[in-house]
Amino acid sequence: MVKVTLLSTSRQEAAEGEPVRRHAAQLTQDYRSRNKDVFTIFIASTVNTNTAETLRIGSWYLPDDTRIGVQVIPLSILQFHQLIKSRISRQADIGPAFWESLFLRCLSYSNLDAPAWKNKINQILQDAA
Amino acid sequence: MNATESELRQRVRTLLKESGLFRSTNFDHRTTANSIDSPMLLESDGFALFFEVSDLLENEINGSAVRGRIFRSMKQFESIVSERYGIFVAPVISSNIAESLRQGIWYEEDKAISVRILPITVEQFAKLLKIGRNENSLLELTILRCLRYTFFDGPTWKIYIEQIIDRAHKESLFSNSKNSY
Repeated sequence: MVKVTLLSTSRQEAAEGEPVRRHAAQLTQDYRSRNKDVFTIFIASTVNTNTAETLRIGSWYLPDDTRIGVQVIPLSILQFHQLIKSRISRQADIGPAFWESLFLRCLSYSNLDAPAWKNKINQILQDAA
Repeated sequence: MNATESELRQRVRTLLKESGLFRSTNFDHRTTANSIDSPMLLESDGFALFFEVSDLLENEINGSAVRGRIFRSMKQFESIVSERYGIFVAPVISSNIAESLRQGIWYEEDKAISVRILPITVEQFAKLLKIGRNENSLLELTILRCLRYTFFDGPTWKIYIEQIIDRAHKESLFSNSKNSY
């Protein structure tokens, strides 16, 4: 799933933090029966650190307190554009396996705090570009 | 009777050798310091695995020590291999060690550093290597898939690890049988 916002200030977290996780959780549940993982890319002109903090925790709770793990990767439009442009220009793989590996790599560092996580994502994207 | 640590390390070595997964030049499980207790290191294309093996029972395992030792070993290789994963192998993974490892942070002068360590049983480890043997690209992917669920608590994470490794194992068997036609 791809979510895009034009907001970039702390309003970004207020306006997008909840809906992005809720939609991602809904899709995650929908696809669970098909045994498929769901990843969400959250794209903004600038990723606000508070939004990154909300997304890196990666949880959504159902009314019965069941915890759903949501996998959301926050990217800036520039990062996304450079990655796609670079890989297409050098005819590198941009198939599902590449994206899954890239997303999992980014998510495996979500135990860092939000500023460090954003830096790590940037580094991973640059390596992949 | 429980296997001793040296027996376990030997079993891990044998499984690694039998897997044939890693380039022979890098296959030697050289220790990363001149101590027999140091984590074993194994390099493959693009990533490296650092092993800690323990035969200790639940309450005797020191999660902090495992993280610290693997971190120090990883640090020596940070300029050589960018993707470094710790693999903690024990006969049984206690929820407390899983809880300690899932947090995956080591502080160096108050700077938090992510240390990604996957706690698995010897049986799961054998399956993980079979996954890599059947479908090489699935090995690192399976580790990453397991690490994705560290936001759950220790007992839940262990369940996810079991499910993910089983699923990948089946996936790799299917892929292997397809390739054999």
